[in-house]
Amino acid sequence: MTAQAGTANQDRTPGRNAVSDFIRRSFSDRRTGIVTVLALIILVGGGVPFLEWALFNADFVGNGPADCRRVGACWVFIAQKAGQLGYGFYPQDLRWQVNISMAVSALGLVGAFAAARRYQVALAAAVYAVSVVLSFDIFGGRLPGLTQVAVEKWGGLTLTLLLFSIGVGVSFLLGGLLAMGRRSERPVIRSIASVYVEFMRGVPLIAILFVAVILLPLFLPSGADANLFLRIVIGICLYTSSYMAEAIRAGLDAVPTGSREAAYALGLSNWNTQKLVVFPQALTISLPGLINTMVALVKDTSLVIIVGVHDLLGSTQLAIGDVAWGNVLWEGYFFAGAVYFLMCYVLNCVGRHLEAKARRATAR
Amino acid sequence: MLAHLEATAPKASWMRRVLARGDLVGSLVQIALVAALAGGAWYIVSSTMANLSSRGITTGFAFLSRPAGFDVAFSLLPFTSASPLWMALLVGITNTLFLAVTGMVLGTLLAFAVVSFRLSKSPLASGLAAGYIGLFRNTPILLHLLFWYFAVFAAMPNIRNGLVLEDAIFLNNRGLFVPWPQLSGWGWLIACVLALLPIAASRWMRRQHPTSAFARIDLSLLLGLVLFVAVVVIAATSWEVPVRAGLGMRGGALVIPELMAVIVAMCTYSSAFIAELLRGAIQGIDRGQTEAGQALGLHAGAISRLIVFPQAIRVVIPPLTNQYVNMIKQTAIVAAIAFPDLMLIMGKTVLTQTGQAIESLMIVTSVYLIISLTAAGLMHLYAAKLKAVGQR
Repeated sequence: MTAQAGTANQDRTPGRNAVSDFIRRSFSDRRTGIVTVLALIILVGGGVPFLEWALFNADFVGNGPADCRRVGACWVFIAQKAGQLGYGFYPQDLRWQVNISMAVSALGLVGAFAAARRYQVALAAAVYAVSVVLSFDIFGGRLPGLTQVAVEKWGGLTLTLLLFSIGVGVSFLLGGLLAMGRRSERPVIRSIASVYVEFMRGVPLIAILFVAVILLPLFLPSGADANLFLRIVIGICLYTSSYMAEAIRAGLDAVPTGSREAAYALGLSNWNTQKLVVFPQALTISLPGLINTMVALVKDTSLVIIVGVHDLLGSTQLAIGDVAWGNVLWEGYFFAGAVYFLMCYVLNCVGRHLEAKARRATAR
Repeated sequence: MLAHLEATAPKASWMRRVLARGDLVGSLVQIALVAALAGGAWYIVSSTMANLSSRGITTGFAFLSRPAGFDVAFSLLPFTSASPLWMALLVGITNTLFLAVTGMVLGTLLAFAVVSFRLSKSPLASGLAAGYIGLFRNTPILLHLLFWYFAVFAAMPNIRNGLVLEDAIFLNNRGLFVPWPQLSGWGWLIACVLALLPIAASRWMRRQHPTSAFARIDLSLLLGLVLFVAVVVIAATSWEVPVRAGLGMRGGALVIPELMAVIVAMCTYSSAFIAELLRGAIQGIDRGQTEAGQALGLHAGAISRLIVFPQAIRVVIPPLTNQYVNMIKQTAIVAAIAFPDLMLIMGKTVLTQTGQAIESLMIVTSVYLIISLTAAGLMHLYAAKLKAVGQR
């Protein structure tokens, strides 16, 4: 902030239109002017060729590789491969099973959230647990009346969503327990929770996934053969729960002691104090951290391709490899990136909405 | 004051606290927890032993002294397929650290550029930087890595059609070939020492004349770089220039496409996160500090360098530590493009070659753990030192 900038701000008289105001602010002093020009160069230099590629020279309609003129993006590829990007190699006539599974897990998440907001913690956990088991079994077609589909054929965006919906709830519950454990006055509980969290936060997710995929079958008796997807889910949940725990712990730490003391003074039991007084405040405070962890979870699910499971990114990788389409690398990665961006963006929006709501509630 | 009292109060023994009086439920729960953990551990160990013996796998770390039998595509240490496996482990560790440090330095430098756009008064630049940050924060790093590798660097034209600059620098699908100076070990050492001199001088100058140009860390870094290059250019006996030889290339230094992809992906990705941390820290500094600087007649650059930045650094150290530790762990994703880091060498190559799954993964996880805990510990020490300066 220089003295020059101060005067530039002051003589912004009302009645000037937005355009002249924009220009005035863009060139308010020498440094700002230079930065504006640089930004313009980057925007025009990168944006114009990109728009030409993605829009003006692109091909949107067609049925095969021949319909792309190859002067711009070949979005026909994405349209033609939509099934694979969404469902992997899941048999086409059985994809309704996946849709039902998605609906069940979405309903489970919404239902559990609604129950938790009414302080029905046990009900929320039960609804969520049932929905997880159901959606997993429906996805694999293991309920009577459905057709079984092997894990190797699962894939695409729906696999990413299934991983997320299972991972987010399980690791949230585990994380809540761990956070309470780290704050416990009982030394055994506290040290176990601390060692666990510090260990998980010090090791890359890929190493955890390798351990889960390669070592879990070695650790369990030869009969108990957990399927590949389950092993990966276990790995992701164990990892993410430590980050959830830290986010929740920050919130628990910030709840004023007076709140707890007031609850005890009213005669609330320990459990009710936690459920009705401490956690609602702690979760509100740690909402940004929790949303960040969830966004990280969405992004981390892409790492499963390293252990041979084809989620959205993995299916994109496979679709790109189809030689019939030639070089469609940019189209594929751009599409996958856009979908990930959309998912994370929606999560951020939900988080902001909840934050605003909580702020209104406390301001009242 | 309170902490002082607590520290001097006699501390109950650990066992006492476990079996605290009046906390029967707590004691029972803790004993049950210990028993459950021990039981679980015993269960896992016994079934693992049974599984191993039925598969005929012997345990132990003796396999580390066997010859590797594989080559690595990138190594800072001398390594051949005849080297022992523990040497491969060292190569993996140095490669991981190399990636992490390169990513940290370049990512932080890029983050300064991004944050200067983000905090600029120009709406256009600020919006552009916000878009950049949003783009990277909401997409997986693996996507960026795969994009830079498969769609950019591995998709370069072949050696014959690749880019050539002045017949000395070649960029093609085998990587980037640059001329390399022939310099003795002493030459490198002198160059490094001379490069560090201006930086040390600027730290000294900072205490004597904080407003002088010689106290500026950015200028001294630049000067150090110039000195380094000058010494290398002067002292080099000759330069090894890469040339096309048949279907391949000969001579010069090679940066393989995998490495370029990792560095570009890590830098751009982490710069968005670091920029966001820096923005939070800079905006958190009280406006009165800037105004006080203006009242003293300092110009904008001096205010940010001498007043805003030192305070912002103090605020940003803890989250930045987290970010750096995350980056060390993040380097493990390069296994996806087969760059030989710790994860790929130990967790994949050695594991599949020797079949020693438990030992290999145990080494991988403990090395990552040691690196991240050490990095976090060092950063905490630094933060404590900064805090002490602030309290003086």
